[in-house]
Amino acid sequence: MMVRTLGVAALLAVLLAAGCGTVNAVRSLAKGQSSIAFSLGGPVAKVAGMDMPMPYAVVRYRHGLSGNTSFYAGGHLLMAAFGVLGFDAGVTHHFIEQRGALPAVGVGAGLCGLIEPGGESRLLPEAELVGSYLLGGRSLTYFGVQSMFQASQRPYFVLAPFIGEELRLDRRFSLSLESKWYAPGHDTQPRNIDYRIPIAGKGALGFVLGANYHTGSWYE
Amino acid sequence: MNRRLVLPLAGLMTVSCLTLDSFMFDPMRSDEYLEYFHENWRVRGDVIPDSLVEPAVLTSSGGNRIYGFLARQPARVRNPDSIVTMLYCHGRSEYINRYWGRVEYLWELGYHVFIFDYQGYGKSEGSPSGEACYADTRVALEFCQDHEAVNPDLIVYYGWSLGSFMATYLAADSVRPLGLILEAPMASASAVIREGALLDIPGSFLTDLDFDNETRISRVKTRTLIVYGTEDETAVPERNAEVLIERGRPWTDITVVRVDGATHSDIPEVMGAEYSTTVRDFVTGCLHSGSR
Repeated sequence: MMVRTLGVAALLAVLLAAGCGTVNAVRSLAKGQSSIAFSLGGPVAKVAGMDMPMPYAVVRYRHGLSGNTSFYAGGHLLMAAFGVLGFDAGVTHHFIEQRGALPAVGVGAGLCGLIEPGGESRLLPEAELVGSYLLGGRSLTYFGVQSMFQASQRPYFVLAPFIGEELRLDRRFSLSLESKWYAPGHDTQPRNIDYRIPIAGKGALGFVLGANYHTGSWYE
Repeated sequence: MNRRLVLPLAGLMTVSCLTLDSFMFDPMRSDEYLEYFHENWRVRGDVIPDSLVEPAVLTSSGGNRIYGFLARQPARVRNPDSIVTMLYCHGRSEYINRYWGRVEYLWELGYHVFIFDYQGYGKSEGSPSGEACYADTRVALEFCQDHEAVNPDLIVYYGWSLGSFMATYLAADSVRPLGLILEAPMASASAVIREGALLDIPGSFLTDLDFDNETRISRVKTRTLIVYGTEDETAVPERNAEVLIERGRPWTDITVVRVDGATHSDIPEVMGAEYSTTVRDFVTGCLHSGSR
């Protein structure tokens, strides 16, 4: 198709439409503790003849400000490869503790910035709502929704519901896998991107793999 | 942020030169012209006599040679100076052979038609880029202007799809033509990004291509015909052709033909005889209005 391949470019950006990388607000870090996370993935699309999640890479630093509030800041590596400074920063806060069937609940809010040196820039608010269950001390199952906002054009916000699993491998290291439904409120076609897994003709299903390193003890 | 992370990131940005420009082009190399035609290209092959097809080898940017063909009208035409010439800017894929059927359509209407391959297409040397395509199109125009059979005041630029960027560029920033015809046009590289991203992401983030009909259309001061199909899933009308119409109408006399049921690549076939009538009426209108 004519411009479908150029749509790969748009693919990189569509990830921004509903949050890049893995979720920030799954659980707060203890005060003074930090973590580094690397994540890779995005909506599944046909790229260079193959069906694959887009390889959008983000590295993100988190730091516990208090028992239930954390700060995060991330760099978007793939955008950097295009000469665009991509970053995000914000805070997460947990306001409901896990109790029986009641999941822990947290929210996150921040800004995603894209700056082209000597060129244009964009600053986009982002938010997320996350519920989670910690099971057996090693398995953290989480779900929720992310969104990104813009004032300059429609749509003014784009959602991405998700479900994920973080598995603790040892005292400091964990792996996570998320599945996201990008832009469920928008038709998958016609569009210049060949998304491979729409749901009921809407949006695009995708996967993000994350690796996390904690400097301190695990959250509970 | 951890300094160990910041430094590699900054380094990556410093050396980065990645763009997605090359995705815009899908050339096919070939050592032969006008011998092989795939059935999907809808070329009849026997419409234009060989004796009226004049090959041209032009020198474009970087000294690269590009190849083209002028399909001339017969010399017996009574008033050769009144013949309109179509400068045909083809699309993204393959090379001249794929578009020869379009040349046949226009030649049958009584026009000279000049078609050429951008750098990296067919036998043309070099590799495609935005700048190269613009340079190639300028060289093609100069060829037409200097050709003995061509009346330089009666040149219409015709751009199909990707070629709409080249045709609009010439009309807006180079030499004003008798008329401009855009078939299944695209709005801009940025529009492509926006379509997929849903967010207002500048095209310049991901591509260096100066493909911006959205801006240039307001500088086109000649009569323009925009033809698009309602079922075009490649250049979705509401985000491409209709954007150009909205942006251009305050500045330019634009005739719009919306073809129900047509996709990106079958507008002439879906329109049938109406395609000929549409193009002929538009060109006649340009001649009578003294569009230049």
